[in-house]
Amino acid sequence: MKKILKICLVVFSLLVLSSCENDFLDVNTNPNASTDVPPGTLMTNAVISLSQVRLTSTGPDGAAYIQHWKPVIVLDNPDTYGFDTNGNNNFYRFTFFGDIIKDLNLAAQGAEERGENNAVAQLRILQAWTWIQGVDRWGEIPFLQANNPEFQFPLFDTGDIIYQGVIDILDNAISLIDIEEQGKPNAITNFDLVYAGDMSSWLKFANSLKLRALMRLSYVEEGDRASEIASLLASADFIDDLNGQEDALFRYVAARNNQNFDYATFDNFTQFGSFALDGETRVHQRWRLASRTMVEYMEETSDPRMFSFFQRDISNADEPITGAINGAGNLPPQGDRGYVSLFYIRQDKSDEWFRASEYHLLAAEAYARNLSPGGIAAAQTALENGLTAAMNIFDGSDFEITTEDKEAFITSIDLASLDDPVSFIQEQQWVALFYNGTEAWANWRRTKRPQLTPVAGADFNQVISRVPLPESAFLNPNAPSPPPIEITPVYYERSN
Amino acid sequence: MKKLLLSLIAVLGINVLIHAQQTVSGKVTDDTGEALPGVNVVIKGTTTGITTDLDGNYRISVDDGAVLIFSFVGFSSQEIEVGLRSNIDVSMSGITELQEVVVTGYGGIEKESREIGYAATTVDGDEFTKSRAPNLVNSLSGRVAGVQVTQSGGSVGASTRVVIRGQASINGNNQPLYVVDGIPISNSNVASVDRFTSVDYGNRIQDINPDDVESMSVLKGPAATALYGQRAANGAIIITTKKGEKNAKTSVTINSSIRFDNPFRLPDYQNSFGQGSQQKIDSASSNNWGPRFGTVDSFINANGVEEPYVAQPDNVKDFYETGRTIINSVAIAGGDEKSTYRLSVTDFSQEGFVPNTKMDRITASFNASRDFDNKIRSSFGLNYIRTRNEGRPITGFNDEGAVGSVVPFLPRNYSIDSLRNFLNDDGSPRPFLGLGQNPYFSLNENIYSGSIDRIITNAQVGYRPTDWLDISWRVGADVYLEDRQQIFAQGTVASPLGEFWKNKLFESNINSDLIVTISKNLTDDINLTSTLGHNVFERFLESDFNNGQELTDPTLFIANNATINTPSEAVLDRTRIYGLYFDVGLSYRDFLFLNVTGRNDWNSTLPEESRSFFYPGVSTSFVVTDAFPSLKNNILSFARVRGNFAQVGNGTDAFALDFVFFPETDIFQLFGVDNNYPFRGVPGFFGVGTIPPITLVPERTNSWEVGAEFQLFEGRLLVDATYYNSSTRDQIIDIDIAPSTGFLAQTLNGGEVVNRGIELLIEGQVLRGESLSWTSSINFARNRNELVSLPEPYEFTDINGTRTNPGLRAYIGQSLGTIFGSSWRKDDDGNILINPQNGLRFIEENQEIGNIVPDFTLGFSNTLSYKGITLNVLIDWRQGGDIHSQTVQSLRSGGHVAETARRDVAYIDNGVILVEEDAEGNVLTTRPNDIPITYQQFWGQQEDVDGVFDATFVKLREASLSYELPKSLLSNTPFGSVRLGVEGQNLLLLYSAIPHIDPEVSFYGPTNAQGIEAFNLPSTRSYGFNVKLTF
Repeated sequence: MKKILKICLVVFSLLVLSSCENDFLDVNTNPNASTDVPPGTLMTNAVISLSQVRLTSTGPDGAAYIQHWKPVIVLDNPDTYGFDTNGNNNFYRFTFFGDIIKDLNLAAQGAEERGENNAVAQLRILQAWTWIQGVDRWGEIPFLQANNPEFQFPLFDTGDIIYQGVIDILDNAISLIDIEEQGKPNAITNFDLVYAGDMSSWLKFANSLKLRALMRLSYVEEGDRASEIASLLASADFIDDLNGQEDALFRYVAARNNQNFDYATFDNFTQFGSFALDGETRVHQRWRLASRTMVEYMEETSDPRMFSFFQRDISNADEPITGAINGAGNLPPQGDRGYVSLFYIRQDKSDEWFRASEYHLLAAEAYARNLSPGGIAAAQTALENGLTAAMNIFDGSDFEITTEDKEAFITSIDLASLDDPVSFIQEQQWVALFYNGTEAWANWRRTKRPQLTPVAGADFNQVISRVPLPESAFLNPNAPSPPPIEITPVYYERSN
Repeated sequence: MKKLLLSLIAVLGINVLIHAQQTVSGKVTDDTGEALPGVNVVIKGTTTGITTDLDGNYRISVDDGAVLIFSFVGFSSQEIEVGLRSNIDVSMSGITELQEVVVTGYGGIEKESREIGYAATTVDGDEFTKSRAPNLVNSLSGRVAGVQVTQSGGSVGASTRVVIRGQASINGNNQPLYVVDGIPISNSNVASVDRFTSVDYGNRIQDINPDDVESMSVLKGPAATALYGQRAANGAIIITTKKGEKNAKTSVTINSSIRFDNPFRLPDYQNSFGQGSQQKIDSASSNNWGPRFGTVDSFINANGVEEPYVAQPDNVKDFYETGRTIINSVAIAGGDEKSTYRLSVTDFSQEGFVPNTKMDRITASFNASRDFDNKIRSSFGLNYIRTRNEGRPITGFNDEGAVGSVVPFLPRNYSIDSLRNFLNDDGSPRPFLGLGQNPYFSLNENIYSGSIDRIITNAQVGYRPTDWLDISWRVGADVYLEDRQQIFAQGTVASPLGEFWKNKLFESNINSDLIVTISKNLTDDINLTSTLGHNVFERFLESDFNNGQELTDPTLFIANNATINTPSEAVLDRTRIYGLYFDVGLSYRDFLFLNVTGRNDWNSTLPEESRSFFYPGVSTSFVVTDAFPSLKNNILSFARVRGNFAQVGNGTDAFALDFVFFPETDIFQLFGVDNNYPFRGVPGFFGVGTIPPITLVPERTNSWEVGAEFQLFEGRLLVDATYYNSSTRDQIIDIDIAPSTGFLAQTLNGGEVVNRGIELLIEGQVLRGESLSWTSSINFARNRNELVSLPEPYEFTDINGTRTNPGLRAYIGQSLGTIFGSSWRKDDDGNILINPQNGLRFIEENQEIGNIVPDFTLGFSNTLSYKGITLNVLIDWRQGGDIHSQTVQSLRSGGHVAETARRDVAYIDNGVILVEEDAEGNVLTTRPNDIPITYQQFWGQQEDVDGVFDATFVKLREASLSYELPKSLLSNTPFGSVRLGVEGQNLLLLYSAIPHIDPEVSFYGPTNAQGIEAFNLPSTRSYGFNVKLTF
């Protein structure tokens, strides 16, 4: 009997002892995850995520709100100021604060620790550019306390705070950039899908974004910002190459695994008539129509970009097109319609972050408004550069504008002869930002030019000023209550 | 038929042994001497037997040494050794106590229910084979108080969720542990792609073959399950498989069933208006706001053919076919004085009611045991389960191929025949409605296929050196390999160039238990039965996935043929636990029982400093009528009280402690080919969205329960009542946090959920006649579930797994499962506010619009026996709780259903026009609504709140009629018994508050996201025939 008990005791003790070996239990690290990754790989994910949102949601929605085109096959009715609530929530929750703010902070912190200043600058410039898009879209969002472990419920900041913060981030990034120390490991190079580590280009991008930010504030903080705009314009390098060599573009390629997200939808629905076909050839797409507002404006100004922006119906050889009314209303007869051209709906179409035309046209406005010295003469030069750059983007494509047409258009414009040259410049900004709906909507709210007729059939009798905060924003008790609605103006908005 | 069976036996190579036989006959009477007809006389250890004739006489052939069992409802059964006698008369006496339910506890130790201090219910295996549900646990519906069974819909291989005594964990697993012959098995439900776009993958408990189940014991609370450790924190379902019996001659059982399935409930359609909008035909529309039938002659269908514009009342019904399931099983069992064996093979073959969906499952099961001379015994069990699935309907809603979001919404003027022809002559798909996809194309071209090969095995060696000491070691494994493949043919909406995904899953669960049991009479009155155990457990789950797009050869679905491949590998779980435990049991004169238990676990998922934790339990049972026999009288024949307190600890998911980065594989795009990485040659990583815990301790459930059991009127009435209270603290939750923190959630301890409730079982013999008997049983359960606290300052957290509109949340002070979503804006008096611009309502987002937790559940079961005929009827009632139905919302907004048929006039909505409000949105002035809108506009206003309905239902869950052929008819056949049966499940919806759909379905399968219906397939009504033969 005792023997048996002894045996039991021994067996148990052995088991207990052997079990206490922690090795047996040390299996709690995921074999398929990394604990440390190069900062550039986080940047890749961040920029792709953001570009996807821009191309499939904020861009097309913004373009519809300000009547660049009229969408006819859409899920969430941007044509009557609708938006995708799930997409809005996902953008806020996953892409904006997760991929861009959090992941790029992690990447930047690592780069800071290693003293990789150029890499820090690259990451911070991307974040600044993203903050602009966030504050433009939602108006007030957490900024100062965002992604800071000390704050469980970051406070919401107003547009003035966020815009100043963006300018500070850009100033800091600009000061970090060391043009002499290009290349690894100081900069992100191989993983930089925008400029491949060329810090001169990043510097120009940062200065251009800063100009965009300052101009955004130029109506509400006019007195305060004029000198900053003037000194920036006088001293900094911008994205100003008229042939677009310096443009901040996120490039896609003509392969189905790395293609433009917006194009992908058209491509996938070919069998449902997303394209008008001549045999196998796609002549034009059929889901985005030329808007009446844009067509009539371009006709008025004899703008040679008309048939670079738009294409005629397959049945229409060379007759004019009729723009479609945004909002509720009948579409023009099929043969009279214009369609957003295949220059834009193409597999390798880049996502346009900042083009030289935007710099020149913002500068033109600054000169014309005397925010910066130079007056109408300087404005005229800048405007001409802006229009040239805007027309040059089609060079080499099927939609190229002839040199004669370009020259004829430019010589037809004389700011000095106009009653309201500033409005004209701003209208030209509206045209030049075609396809960059995200920025075009923001810039339009700043300028309110051209004056747009609100669409019929919408819940609001004016072009909306913001997209409401998504549901997940209210996980934070500091979210504004009651929340602002679509027609609550954003901070920098001009009243008319 | 006989020939067929004999040849089947020959094919199977079975030799039915012939023994020396003798014949026994006699008469069975009751204690007053009256003849008893219909008494079952069975040879022990076999299924061979007969019933007595009208005069109570019987005659049966037996082998040497046979023992006869005489049994009859309402009488104590008797076992009589035949010996050399040829005539045995038997007098049977009515029973005064219902028979003890045997509950299988830890390590396969069987206990009588009188001994245990907690509520447990055992369901006999026969119940599952009378009415053979494709998923074993579906048969628990309505049978066991406190057990809620939810099926996700009528797909082949559909999943089923079981929750015992309410949901205790906000975001963790709430399903019970399943244990087969002492081995915890997998009940995984892994989604290959998200749950919004794919098939119902099913959960793995469905692999268990009902024909091999001897019994299922449902252990409800921590006291019942403390010894199974943390995995049984939500209760355990202990499955005991059938085994051979010692000293029994070889018996062969053949059981054949055929069942037919069809949709349980289809929407109540209108048949006055067809396709279109604003009373105009639109041939691309799937809405039915078109012209009234009779006002337009024809329309152009999707194939471009002109057809008459008339109602097709049965088009949806005709889409579904009659499903068919054939189940055949053969079992051979027997044993000698030291050994037993049982081998069975079951073939299950199912064709779903959705066209072109099939599933086949073959189960082979072998159990054997052997006692050796040197006090050592051994047993071995092996189950091989082979499942092959060819065709399974897509059930998600973000998918053009989903049946449930297309078929119920067919235009009323579409005949199903016009859709059957879904291909052009060149093989390309014909257009369907708008951007949609013809469901016949989806089901015939885009096939989901799956295969599972699973082995569940156990081996045990026991040593019993003395009569009071027993040492046993049991090792078991549950291992399966699952292959899933979904193909999308060229021309599929959103994958025009063809696409596929494949997913290989490998899971293993390994378990070892070393158990020492001491059983000794300490005095004449006191017995000690104690168990000391050691347990090691490991679970490993791995997934290997690839999505291939852009196929070169459109018919070849392999990675090498895809231009774009997006592979991803993941280890989903690697958890190790070991535990030491004890159970010290004392009994006093067989009427007072006390058990003290304790267990210490070491869990790999917790931080090193908190991975070891101990939890105790104590339970007691007291048979009052045995302690005080004087209490027994004509009314009370048995009384027992019981009570327990127990704690159970729990770990968390594997790999939850580190902040990590994952490589990106692809970028999902709703309507396009996904882009993937590396992107222009560059890889991308992302950091996880959950903040890992700083410290983490095990979550703890404390529970107590008291119960009482009474048998009254000589055992004709049994009443059993339980009250329990269970509180789970230090919940390990991923609480949703403000996105502006950069994170989605944070893992932490915090929050308490309390479940308290009563369970009541009343069982009575309504009739106990000579040839007619009727037993009725009611089980009732009411569970109050409440989220008591969350970590400061949170007041709610999301219940993971739903989409956001509507979603599920847990709010402090409410039951887990508040439905929240959009509603209508109202003034202070509750009037809906109307927009003066257009006469439509204003929307208000993020409102609490319902709660999914039911008030009570009740099962009412009846067994009526007349001679050899037995009728079983089970009625299932669930009261309260809400369900959100996307289907009902869409049926109404699209003008599909009967209530939308009134539409020729204008309508002024109930509500008031909002005239003026202040900057804070306070309503200042309103006026009566006078703006007419159309009915299309009215029904088109569907916010989440309009989809919320009371989920109360009363169902005729099950009915079966079986007939056992009189033995006299079988005397010249090789059959020992023949039972014929007709059975049906989910037969009638006797009451429902929700229109158009079965209130019991749930979109998100077995996850915690319940109470949300989103274009589910209809659930299944089944009926069939069953033949059971023994030799």
